[in-house]
Amino acid sequence: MMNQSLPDNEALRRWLEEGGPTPEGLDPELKRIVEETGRYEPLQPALSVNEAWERFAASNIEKPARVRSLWQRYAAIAAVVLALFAAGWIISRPATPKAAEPIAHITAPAELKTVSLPDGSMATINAASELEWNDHRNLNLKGEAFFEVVEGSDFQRSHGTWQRACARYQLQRICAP
Amino acid sequence: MPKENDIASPAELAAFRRLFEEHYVAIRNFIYYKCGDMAEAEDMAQEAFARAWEKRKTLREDQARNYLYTIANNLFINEVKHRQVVLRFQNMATEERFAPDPHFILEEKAFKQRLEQAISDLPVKQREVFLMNRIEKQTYQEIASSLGLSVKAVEKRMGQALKALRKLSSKI
Repeated sequence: MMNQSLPDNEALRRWLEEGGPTPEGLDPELKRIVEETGRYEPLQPALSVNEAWERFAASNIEKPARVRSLWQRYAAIAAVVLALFAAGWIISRPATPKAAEPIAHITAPAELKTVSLPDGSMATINAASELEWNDHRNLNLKGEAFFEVVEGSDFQRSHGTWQRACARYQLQRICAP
Repeated sequence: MPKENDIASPAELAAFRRLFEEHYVAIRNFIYYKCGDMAEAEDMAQEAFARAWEKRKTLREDQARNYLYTIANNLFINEVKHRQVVLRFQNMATEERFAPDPHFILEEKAFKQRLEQAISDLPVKQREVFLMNRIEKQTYQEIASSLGLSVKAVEKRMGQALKALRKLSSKI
């Protein structure tokens, strides 16, 4: 009959702590278990001590800060402020109009159409008319249109009869043959 | 997070690094034996040492090990306690076999699997003590002082673990 009880604690301890003798009458299954586990290492990939230290130091250990002169600090702040202003200025500038892409507006008989022009002016195009806009120096009109011209915009005659208007919101009636 | 005025002197750093190198693997493995997830064990071990680092000015060298184990244990209890654990091990010493019998190879493999399962199924208190002795090669006294137990308590847990393993691993 196999001895089912364990050896006493002291004998076990001497055996389990390195170099102790195997207790008498030991269950061979138990012996196998103890010897097998004595050769174990955890299987999952684990950091080496050095890798663990690198990780630890990176997260927890403050490096001594470089001593910066006051002047350098102010210069750095000024540079950031300037950069912000520059970015703001760039963003707020109106977009330059695209060159030379003609915009055509055509109205059907009995259609009235109001369009805004790339320079900011407004044109109300009467029925059965055609307005072609290349840029403010080259506007072709066939038919009739009212213009509400933005200040500073310089409408020039290309066809027909024009009255140049430079004032803001001054209405013009322009007829072309 | 490191504080502005918390720069360590080279001597402080060197002393802590020695502590780290002495105990890190044991602490990390200790948590692994409890939770069965190596990545989590690394995280918790790092956290335990982080807390020790914060306390480095007041922590005595003879208290340090016990402190680290206590923090690690508390972190485990807070994070992981009720999870089903699956532990895996590799056998570091390849044994020479002459003309291995296929039956033997299969039986060995089955035995290893049953043993891993049996270890995973141990109550955590028994498992941690058992593996600290078998894998970390700690004496009963070292285990006792790491975990704040008496040597008698360690003996008891070791006995329970061995009994349970013998019973569990011989099930067919």
